[in-house]
Amino acid sequence: MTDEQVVLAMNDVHLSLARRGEAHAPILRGVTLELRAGEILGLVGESGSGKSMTARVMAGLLPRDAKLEGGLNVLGMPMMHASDREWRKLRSSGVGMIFQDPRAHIDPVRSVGDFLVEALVQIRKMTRASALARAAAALEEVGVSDPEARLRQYPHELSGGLLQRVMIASTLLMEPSVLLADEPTTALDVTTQSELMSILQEQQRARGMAVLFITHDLDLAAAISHRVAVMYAGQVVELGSAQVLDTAPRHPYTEALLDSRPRRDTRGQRLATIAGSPISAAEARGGCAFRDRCRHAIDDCSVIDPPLVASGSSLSRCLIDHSARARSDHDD
Amino acid sequence: MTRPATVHAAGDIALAQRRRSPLSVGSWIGLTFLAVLAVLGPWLALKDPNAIDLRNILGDPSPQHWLGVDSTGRDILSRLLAGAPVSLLGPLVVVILATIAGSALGIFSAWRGGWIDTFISRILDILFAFPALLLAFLAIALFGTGLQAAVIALAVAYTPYLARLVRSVALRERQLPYVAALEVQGQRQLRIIVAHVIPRLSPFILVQATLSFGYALLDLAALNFLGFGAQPPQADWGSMVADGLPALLTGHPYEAVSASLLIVVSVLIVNSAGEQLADRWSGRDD
Repeated sequence: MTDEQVVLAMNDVHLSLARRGEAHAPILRGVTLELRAGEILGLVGESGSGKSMTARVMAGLLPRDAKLEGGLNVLGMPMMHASDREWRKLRSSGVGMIFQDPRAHIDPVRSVGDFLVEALVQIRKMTRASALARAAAALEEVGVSDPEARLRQYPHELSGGLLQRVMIASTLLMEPSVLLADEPTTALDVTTQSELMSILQEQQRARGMAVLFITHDLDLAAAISHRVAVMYAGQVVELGSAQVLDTAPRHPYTEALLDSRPRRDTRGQRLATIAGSPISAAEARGGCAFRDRCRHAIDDCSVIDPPLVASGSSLSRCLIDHSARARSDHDD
Repeated sequence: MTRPATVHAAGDIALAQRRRSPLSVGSWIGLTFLAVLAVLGPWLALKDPNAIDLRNILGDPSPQHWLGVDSTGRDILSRLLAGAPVSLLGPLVVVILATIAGSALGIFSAWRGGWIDTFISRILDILFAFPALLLAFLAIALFGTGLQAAVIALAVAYTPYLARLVRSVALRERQLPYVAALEVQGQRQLRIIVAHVIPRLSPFILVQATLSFGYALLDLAALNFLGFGAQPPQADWGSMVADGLPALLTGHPYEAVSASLLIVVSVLIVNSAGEQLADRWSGRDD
């Protein structure tokens, strides 16, 4: 990326949420991320690794009893202790979000047109007629045919893919400079998924938005992102350019994830798996959260929680230097 | 992208369902009957409901007095008709006031959460500990008797029932993703509540209000029966039951029985309409 302007920065963010009748459970354990203008940052991880919550922190969408610590700066404004009013202002002008399940995120008793123009009329103070024209144009931009007819339809009349386009259009209408996309294509079939991804990429390029793209699909993230962050148990364990991450992962977890992908040249063989099962941030004890599943773990891994430090051209949270690890593999 | 015809069909069915009335024909007839009684009752009364005729007391039904006359010679049918607005609109006002106050309180409580929610919920719990009639007695003791006092007292007593229900459905609604999506658009909470949440909760609220109407009618009639509500000579069904009670014991049941029957029939009509709404909407998948 030539434009290195940081539009959103999370600095060592710790988040814990109240559980019924129990103490707060940690969800994020020191997440540090930067989103730069005009880039797509892929955020990958297993379910429960904290990737959706990271996006919710960025959009200020947390339950009232959430405990949040650390630093958060969005579009040059410190938002850690921002009021509802400040968040509202930021969301209506700079930060948009699209969600995994569009059907659940659109009021089903309102028409698509109502949904699309509501923010324009209420917040941008446009007239309904001009807002409807803008909405139709926005639908056209995201590849929806016959937009005028769609505006009169209700969410239940549209397919999931079409509804996700409506969701994207509604976000783009507010012209955000930061777009948080929380698994926008997970609920869709592969063909629709690739169509939507190209629309997202096209809009991102045309508008120069910064996009946080959350997915559990490492290949998809690597294919469309400029940089990719890998999360595990509420921490970013590796952060680097998509290319480097895909070809020369630094963290054992990333390496193991890449190894466990199905590939053409391993057809017919058993897929590699990661031993054990993923742990949540709440289950993480002292030391490295991944150590019990790590092929390279040494004694110190259960004592020292490694910081996110430069490793090659990437950042990685691992005690064992990548080159040293490669040597030890060689010795085996 | 071409749309399959089945999508059209599904949309049309949904639309047809929305247009179809959730109430049976019988309920509509019953509710219309009550509405006509409540609005036009006094004008339908052929005789002066307050005209005393002491030469003709406790008369049996006759061509002049279809339902007989009461202990002071007043025409019972005319009094029933003249008392319809008080007897039917009184509980309506109770329910409207309680629904507005209860919904506002319930949604506010659910939306704010935290200690505000706990505080409001505990207050509601305390109010719940007292039967509605007892609260009404307390209010009447403080503010004096009269129809207005009785209506306001019952409205206060009914508010917790509405508030608790609305709070519970609003709590669930608060967690729904579409609310977060609207928040991300930068919408104001008040706007989200008024434009999206209340319309979505309205079936629950309407059902509860309808069912409450039957109880309110009974409670208001009871207050009137006890003489705390409408004051003489204003006719209403509750006090007519009370007035007719001594005559009932001496073999002149017309006043007490006819007024009681009207109360029972009204409650049945409104409650069965409420049950139909509840049946129809409780199956809603959302």
